[in-house]
Amino acid sequence: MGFIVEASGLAKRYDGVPALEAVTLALPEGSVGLLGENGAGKTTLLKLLLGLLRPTSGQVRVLGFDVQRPKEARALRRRVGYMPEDDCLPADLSALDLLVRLAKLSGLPHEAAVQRAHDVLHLVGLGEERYRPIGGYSTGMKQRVKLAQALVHDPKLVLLDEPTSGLDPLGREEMLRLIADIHRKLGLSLVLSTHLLPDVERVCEFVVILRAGRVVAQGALKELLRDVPRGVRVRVGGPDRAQEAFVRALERAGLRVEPRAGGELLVRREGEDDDALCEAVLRAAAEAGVQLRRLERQTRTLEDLFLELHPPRPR
Amino acid sequence: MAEGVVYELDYRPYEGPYRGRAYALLALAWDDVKRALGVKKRWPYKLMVGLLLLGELGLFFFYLLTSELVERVGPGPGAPATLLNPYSAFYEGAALISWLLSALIVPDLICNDRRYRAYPLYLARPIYPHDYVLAKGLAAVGTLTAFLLGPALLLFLGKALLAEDAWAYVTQHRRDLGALLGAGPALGLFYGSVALGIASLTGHRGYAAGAIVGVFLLSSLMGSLVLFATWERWALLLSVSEYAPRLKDALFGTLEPLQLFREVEITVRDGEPVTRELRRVVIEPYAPWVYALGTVGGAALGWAVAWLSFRRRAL
Repeated sequence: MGFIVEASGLAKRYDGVPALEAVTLALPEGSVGLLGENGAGKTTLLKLLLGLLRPTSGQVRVLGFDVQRPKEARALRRRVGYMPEDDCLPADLSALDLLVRLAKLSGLPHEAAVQRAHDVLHLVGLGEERYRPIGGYSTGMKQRVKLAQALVHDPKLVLLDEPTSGLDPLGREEMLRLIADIHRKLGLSLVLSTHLLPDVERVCEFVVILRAGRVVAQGALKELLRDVPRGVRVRVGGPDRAQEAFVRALERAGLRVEPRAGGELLVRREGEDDDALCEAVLRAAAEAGVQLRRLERQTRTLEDLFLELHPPRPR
Repeated sequence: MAEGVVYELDYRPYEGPYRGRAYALLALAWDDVKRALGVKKRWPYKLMVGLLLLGELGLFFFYLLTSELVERVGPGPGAPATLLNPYSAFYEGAALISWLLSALIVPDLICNDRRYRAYPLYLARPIYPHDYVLAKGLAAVGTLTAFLLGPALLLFLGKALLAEDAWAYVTQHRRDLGALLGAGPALGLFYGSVALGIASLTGHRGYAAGAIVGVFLLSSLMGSLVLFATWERWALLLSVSEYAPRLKDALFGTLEPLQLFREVEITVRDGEPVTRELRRVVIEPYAPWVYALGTVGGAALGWAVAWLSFRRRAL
């Protein structure tokens, strides 16, 4: 499988303040999620990938182009679409006029630019509104225009910076559906930069997690979430002696008990399925006379991974 | 029988040609020229552009008719050379109109992109960052030059057709034709570039327009005040708006000394002023290269300010 982005030791500092440090990436074709809290360096990384910023150190290649060379960066931008996070649409232009202008700026002849502008606006669901000035659009419509302008010149890779920003739940759902279609139906690779974990879980196959300008995790989403001990999570209530009796009852039944944060216990046994474990836990609870407050299968979500990598700051 | 094509709106890969960087720049500049001239703008803007264009055409007719009359009747003694040459006189009046036009159209080209933070949409295209400023400058200078040169060439054509022998007129006035072809672009370059630099400093069109008018007006006022206070030739250089018109005079060979009258006191005896009289003061112009340097320098400064302002905001 080819890599759409290869970065080695990438760093960017603004007046000595690091925005990115020692970023090494190998992003495969497909849909990639770039996760991080606000200020983690996601937008800086996207701008570096576009060749709009010069790295302080390190190397980066996108679609095989060395973005530190101005000519290659320019050639790259013909093949890459960028959906910025900010509200950047000129209010006095219509969506159609804006897309035609940007398509021609990407090198499309006039007739092809007009044709593709209509096609892409149809794809993102803008009908007759395309002829009205953008200043009168809702937030959802503006996000669609931003997405459309990233696609109008038929890019091979699309960089999306917080595409669901400011959208209501319905708008967010529609935007995610569009983004998923871009990859699955149109075959384009995409990098989705966001701080919203469900968006990445919904759309992406590969994930990079940034924290304070550094990569703290990267890999296929399934692989990152696979390394999880199976078992059931249990929390009980009652006097301490009863809880100790509960643990002894579980151990007598041949189960392994591991304490977890928040007073929870992880109960497991090799080869045991979750239903049998639940039955064993219920028997042990009845034997020890404790109140069972929580009993659920152990699963790992992206949120779990994200929180593990972002421990709470000391107050 | 009429024929039609059924076209299905749908996103599909683009398999046509991509034009180069020159096409992209010219496409953006041409799009801006059309908008500067009022295409797809509101009627108040179109009205103002139309009135200025009418003013230019009015000048054209005025100088066509008056120059014919003067040639038949003969000029009076002491008539200024600038006014005797209809092309130089036309440019003298048209320079004022192009100054007002620059305050109208250049902020419209520049300020909106800054105000709506639209730079990422352009920078994500296959152009260099300085190409954006280049395209905007081309649009500004090109529009103003067309406004100046078009009617001036029309005036020359009109004079040639009204002459007994059109070809003889052209050959006899080829120096004027050369000066006309040089002065128009020089005026357009100067006013367009200075307006470009001033407008790049703000995102509000009104402030930019006011600043453009103010800079030229105030510098003229300052130059006049200092001249009358000091009666020194260098005061002429304070009037920024005079560089390009005086270069125009040099091209047409109509660069003449400035003749002013100054009230002086004449002392007859014992230090007591007896009478006051007006004496003519002749302020010699500078050599043409000074005005050429001022014109080019002012234009260069305008472009430099525009580039630095853009770079600070966009990159």
